[in-house]
Amino acid sequence: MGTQVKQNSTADYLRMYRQMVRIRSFEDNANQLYLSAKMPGLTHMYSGEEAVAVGICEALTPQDKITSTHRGHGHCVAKGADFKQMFCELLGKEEGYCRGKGGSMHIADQSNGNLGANAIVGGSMGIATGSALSSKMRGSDEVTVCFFGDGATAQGLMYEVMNMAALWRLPVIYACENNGYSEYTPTDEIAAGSITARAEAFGIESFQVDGQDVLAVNDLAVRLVEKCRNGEGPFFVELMTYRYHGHHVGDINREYYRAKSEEEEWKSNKDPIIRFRSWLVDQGIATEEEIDQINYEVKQDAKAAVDYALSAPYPAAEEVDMHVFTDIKHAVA
Amino acid sequence: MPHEIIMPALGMSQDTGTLLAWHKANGDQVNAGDLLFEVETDKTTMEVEAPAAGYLVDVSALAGEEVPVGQVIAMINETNESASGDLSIHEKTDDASAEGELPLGHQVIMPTLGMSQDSGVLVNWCKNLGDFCEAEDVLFEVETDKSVVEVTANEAGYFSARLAHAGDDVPTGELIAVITKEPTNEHIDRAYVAQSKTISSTKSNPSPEPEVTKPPVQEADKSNPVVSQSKSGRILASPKLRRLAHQAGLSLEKLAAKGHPQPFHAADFEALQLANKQTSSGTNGGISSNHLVAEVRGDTLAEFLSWLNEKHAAISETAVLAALAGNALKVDAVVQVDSITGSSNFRASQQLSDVSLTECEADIFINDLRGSFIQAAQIEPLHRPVISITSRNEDLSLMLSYTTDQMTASEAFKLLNDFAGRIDDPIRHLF
Amino acid sequence: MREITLSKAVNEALAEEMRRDERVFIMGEDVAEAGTPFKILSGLVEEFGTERVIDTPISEPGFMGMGVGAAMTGMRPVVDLMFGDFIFLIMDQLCNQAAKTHYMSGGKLNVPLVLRTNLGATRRSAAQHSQSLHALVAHIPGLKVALPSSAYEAKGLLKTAIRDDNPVVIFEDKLMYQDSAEVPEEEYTIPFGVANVKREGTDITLIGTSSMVQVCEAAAELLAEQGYSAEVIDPRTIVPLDEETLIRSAQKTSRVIVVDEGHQSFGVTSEIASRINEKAFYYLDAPAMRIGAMDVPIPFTPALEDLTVPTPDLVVKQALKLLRGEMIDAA
Repeated sequence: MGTQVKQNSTADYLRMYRQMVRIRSFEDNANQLYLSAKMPGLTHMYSGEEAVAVGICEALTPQDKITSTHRGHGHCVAKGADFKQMFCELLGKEEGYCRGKGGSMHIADQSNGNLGANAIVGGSMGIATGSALSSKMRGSDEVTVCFFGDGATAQGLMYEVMNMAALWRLPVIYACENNGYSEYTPTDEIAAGSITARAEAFGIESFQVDGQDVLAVNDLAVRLVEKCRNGEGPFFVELMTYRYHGHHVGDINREYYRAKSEEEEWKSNKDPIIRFRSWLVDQGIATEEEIDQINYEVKQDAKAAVDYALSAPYPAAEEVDMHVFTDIKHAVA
Repeated sequence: MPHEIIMPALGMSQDTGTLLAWHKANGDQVNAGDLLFEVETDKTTMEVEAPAAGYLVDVSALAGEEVPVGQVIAMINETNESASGDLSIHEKTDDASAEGELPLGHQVIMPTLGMSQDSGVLVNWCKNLGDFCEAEDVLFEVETDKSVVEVTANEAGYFSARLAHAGDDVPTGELIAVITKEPTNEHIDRAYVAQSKTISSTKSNPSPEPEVTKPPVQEADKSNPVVSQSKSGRILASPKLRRLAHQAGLSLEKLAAKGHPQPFHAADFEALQLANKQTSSGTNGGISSNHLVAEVRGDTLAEFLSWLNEKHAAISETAVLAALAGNALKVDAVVQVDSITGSSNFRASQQLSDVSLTECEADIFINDLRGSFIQAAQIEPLHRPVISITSRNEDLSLMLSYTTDQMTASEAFKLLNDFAGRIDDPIRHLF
Repeated sequence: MREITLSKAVNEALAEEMRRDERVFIMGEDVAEAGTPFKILSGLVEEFGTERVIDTPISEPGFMGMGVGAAMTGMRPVVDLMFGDFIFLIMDQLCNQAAKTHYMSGGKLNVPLVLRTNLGATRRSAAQHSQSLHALVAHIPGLKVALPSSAYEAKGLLKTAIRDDNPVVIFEDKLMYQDSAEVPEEEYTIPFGVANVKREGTDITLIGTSSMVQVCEAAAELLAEQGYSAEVIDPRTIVPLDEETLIRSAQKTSRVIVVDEGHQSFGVTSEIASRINEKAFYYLDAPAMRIGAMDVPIPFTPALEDLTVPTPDLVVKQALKLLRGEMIDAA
């Protein structure tokens, strides 16, 4: 890669838009599957945070790595995952990315460099930093992005790995998706002081950016990824964003911790997809009709994928004790 | 009980300390907590207090001396006399035969060489036995994991006892030499001998339990036998013995009946075989089977049974037979009645309506052959006495078969006579 | 054959594997210049450099997690955990992440990682530096667990662990680092899941792990003096466990004692004894017994610490009870 920062083309912008719409559409469908009791377990909606995942992942190649969180569908789609296999995974079907054995909270897409969502808050920070260490040791220019929420800044592991990343100049970008809430508690009640200052204490250059502005996010991401490839990492980015749904799909009556008016404000005036759509039209990059067309296609795509997944088969019973070890086919005698 | 005052362990990296100054003199009375002496470490000066009250005696290190860590440099005794009579250097040196032989003097120990080593290989002695050494002379060399280290004598005097040879691997802290102030006539010279009975592991086994002594040699030595039958009537035996018994078709009850101590193990298999042989052959050990026959009218029983069938159909004929036989035997007897309709176990009762089916093992077997063509049945009473009932026209023939270890002759006469009497007049004996 | 210490054997295994495969590297506290406080890794940083022998800050969860991430992305880390007692600190990364990644990804992600740590008491290091916690990790599906009982096992098992594509936890007995054994100069590995019958016998089977193998051998000698023939078996790995060898031995001798330095309750001894009770039941002339470390936090004072670990005398005492057919806890 040269020293020039990548310039986005029309195709790039349209893809960015499409990716955000795909995420929104995926989440809407997943929510429906839950509400209509067709999806086992729980899941966590990313709706509202699309610009964060897309803005960053558009700056990465399939060889670059990401680690994700329990709110991981957005990262998964943004890193290049396919609807069918994602819906299959959420429904526990054999054709899912993890053969139905991981589910929403552990969805991983190894071929696209997604090392996996993690049900443990902050649980993937070590993995992301290790991935960066690995990249450096192998002499490759792969960058790793570690996604985590503001709630994860309460985990000790974050400080341990940031310390080591800084000591050894590892190519990792710590992306803190600050959506204002740590489960059911506002962030300012669980995180003392400044979030970026935490990283700065280790000498890690830190940035804060409007997470609802996909271009701002992408711009910053492209620059930081380039620097990482040149051995100037690690970096820390705090992205200010908002989740429209509750902490998980079952968290429906949430006015006790979050005002409806606040939710409305973010949805109406700060929605990343609407904002970007306006920008695209204003800049003459796309017409309203073209955008409508994209929306329509994505919607059809999603519906087809959901239908497919609903009728896809579950893994066979004999699979229950497979894949415990790489070299023992069935772990239970 | 005299207290040893030793040069204390000063830190991981030091194996000697310089005694800077004594604050008490030989013979002084001291109290617990009194400052005894000061030691120089590589960081600071350390003050050492008296651990107990008494008199400071047997002071063997002088101010200014460099003393190995762990070495005894004085004693606190109850009186101001020397405590050297029971001067034991290390608890571990319980090599009883040698204690009296070792000369008194400065003890040289295998020094602590580092966290990863708990012994050192003595490469080489640099002085000969009997030689005079200055304190700063190199006395021996030890191999560590990094290099070979020279160890000085630390005390001027005569090398009078050598307790390890070149090549010996000696645990740290162990006594390996003594340097005396005066030359001695006899020198002690031997290779290092390990003190405790340890095996290749370095774990110390103080073994607080007494040595295990050889038991008398025998197979089934039951030092705590259980009563021959546990409370529930079950027989206790190991799975192995049960399998062997089952495979050989042998009965555990026979062995239990003989009072053989439980639990049974594989070693009891021979006894089991013997027990089974005795009862089945009927000739060994004087256990033989006997037979008695009684004849009784059958019409009264028949009438009774048909009346019963009308009025109390729930009560079966077999139950009635069980009651009649059981009550003749003992209270609450369990009777197994085998007839053409099958086999049932009943617990007898004086009240016919209380006679109930049971899972318990029978005390006696009844073969109900009434109405069949069989005239007589002499059945081997393997486990329990057997009474077979056959019919001859209107009368019934009762044959009792029993072994002498199941009941005595007079018990048998009484049983059969009683049973016959009840059959003769069932109404009187029931309800 | 030459004899080398367990420490040297571990050192050789690591050096040979690092020469053989450039993806293998070591990380942990004080592993480079210091070679660990036990001095096992001396010389490795000189040969392989600080890029492959990495000193970390005192951040156990941090560097364990990084080991997992590195293993998932093409490297083969050997993570050094200074004392087995610290395993509590890394349980999430080891048991929630490393152990489950292959399964949760439907077989698509591998974690070829080795965690090297230790166990063993009687070093007067007190309760938080003396534990033998291998039962905790053996309980977690997805982790393999190796317990070398001598320098020979330590080298062979460690090489196999490094070449294994699954996460492996290998526990060395910290009291044994200076103990020597015959170790071939030629290349060799020891496969997982194959027990070693160290001594054949007919009257009773003694199954021991790690340094308890030596305890069992000593007990066997003492029993021989009394006319009893004991069989001594070293399972070498508890996951995978060579059940077949253990069951066959139980069937042969009909008496078994399992000796392990984990605590007596809810541990390795319970698991093995239980399997023997299940699968050799009809051959047993006595219940399969357990001897573990006493169920107390390990005390500091030598007067008490030595009472808490299994010794040859304890094993012999229990064995004689079984051999004589004494009822255990007669009602």
